[in-house]
Amino acid sequence: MRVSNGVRLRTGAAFLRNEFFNMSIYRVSFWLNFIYTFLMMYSVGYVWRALYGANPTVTGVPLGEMISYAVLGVALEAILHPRNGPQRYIMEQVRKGTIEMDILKPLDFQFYMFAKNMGSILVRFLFLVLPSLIAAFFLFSLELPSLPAFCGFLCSLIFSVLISFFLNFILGLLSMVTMNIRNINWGYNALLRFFSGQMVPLWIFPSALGIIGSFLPFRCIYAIPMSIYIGNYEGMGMLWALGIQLAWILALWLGSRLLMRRVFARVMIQGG
Amino acid sequence: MRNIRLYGQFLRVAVLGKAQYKADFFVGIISVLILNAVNLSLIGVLVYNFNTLGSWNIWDLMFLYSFWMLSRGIYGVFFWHLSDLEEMIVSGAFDAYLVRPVSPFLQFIGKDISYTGVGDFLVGVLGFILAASQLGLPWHIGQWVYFIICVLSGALIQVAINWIGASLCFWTTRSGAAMSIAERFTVLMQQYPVNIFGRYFQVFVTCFLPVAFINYYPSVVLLNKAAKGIQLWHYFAPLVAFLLLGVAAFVWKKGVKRYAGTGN
Repeated sequence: MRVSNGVRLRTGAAFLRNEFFNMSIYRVSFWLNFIYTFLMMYSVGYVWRALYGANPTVTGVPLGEMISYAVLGVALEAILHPRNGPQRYIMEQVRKGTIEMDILKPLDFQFYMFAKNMGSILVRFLFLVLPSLIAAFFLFSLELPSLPAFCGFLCSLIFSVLISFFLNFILGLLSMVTMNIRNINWGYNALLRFFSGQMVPLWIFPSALGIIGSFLPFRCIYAIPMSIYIGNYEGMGMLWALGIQLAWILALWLGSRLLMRRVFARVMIQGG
Repeated sequence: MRNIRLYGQFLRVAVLGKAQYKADFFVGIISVLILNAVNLSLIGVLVYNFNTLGSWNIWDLMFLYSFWMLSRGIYGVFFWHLSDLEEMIVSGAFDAYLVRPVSPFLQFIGKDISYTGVGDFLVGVLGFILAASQLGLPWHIGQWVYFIICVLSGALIQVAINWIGASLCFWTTRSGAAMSIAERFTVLMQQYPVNIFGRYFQVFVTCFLPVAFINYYPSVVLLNKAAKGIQLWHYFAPLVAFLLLGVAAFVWKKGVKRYAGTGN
């Protein structure tokens, strides 16, 4: 069904508000998450300090920048970790057998999931990522980027959120076919941890692994925005990196649309 | 004696229940192997570049990690479902245990086993063999005995911490979030030698949440890694496990009494 853009925007905003209220119920787990992020930022800083203590020239960037990179990786986990994606909701609906209620809504399914997911991402960004970054600035010597790097970082972060959404959405679609994605999710998680550069920067990987990593979309999620933040990509390099992210967004968007059509056809034939 | 026999019976039932899902068993173990391979390779990439991490080389770190995996495997197989307690309290399923003439703890602990623990243990064995062959380990019999005791006491420390955490839900109903934070914190602490995290952290994980006694202090003793010589209290891992289990049993008793007392 075709819906005008105004209606789309208003429905989007409604989901966003809804998600905000949902999140504010679980206040205790929210604080615990904050404490966890805090402990993680503290400890990754120490790991890098210990590593640099033995050998300060390996990564090619000064210790301050490396710590900023690592601390940023911890903070961004609050919005980029797959557990916050839509696939868990989809999986849950498939298990309960109520997924067709969501598919039959007079609203594009992907847009529906997107609006729902962006609501929680925005809330998490405002109340988890931003405060922990401010704390990191005062306590864990997070360095501030130059102005162009900062603009590039923000832009790139929005792209990362989109890429991470599309990948999670595709996993969700797969759950409609396989009925259980716990193990696929696990494998995805492992790949993401390894090839995203969240904990260990990709440029110190042994060359073969580094080349594999550069052909995968995972580095677009953490490594690119974080590298832009610490000034590793500048000028044309930064534009090139943003271009790679855009290309992945396009590819994943097209891929997920195609996959969605096929999966839905299957679900309908099965009688959902 | 009767309790041990009963526990054996409970476990038999749990194993038979699990045996229905063979595919899940293998996929579960493979996922554990992959996850650990990723963790180890990330540390590997770091140390491959930097050579050492605070005087620990890659095989020392491998030893540390597999030490933890061995004890975590033992804990995981038999006690992983401690975190289910919250769900059972919320849904009221726990009440059934209170009316039967067997200790509620025995029934609760015997209701399930977890095969992800088997995967962890496998990783531990493989990692240990690899690390031991590279390090040479010139141990005499006493050190081997101490090693085995410490693996067991490491498992017991994890049992005790999670037992205390789970028991908290007798008071608060919800304990899952706190337990998962403690778990993720433990996971982080066990992968690196504790002394790189600075003095405050070291005091915290030695005295307050004694996760450093799971694998760090035993490894310090066995690999002779203490900067200022080995102190007597570095050997205390079994003692800590013993004390902590006592505390956990006490908290559990209080909790069950309180739960039964208020008529929920």
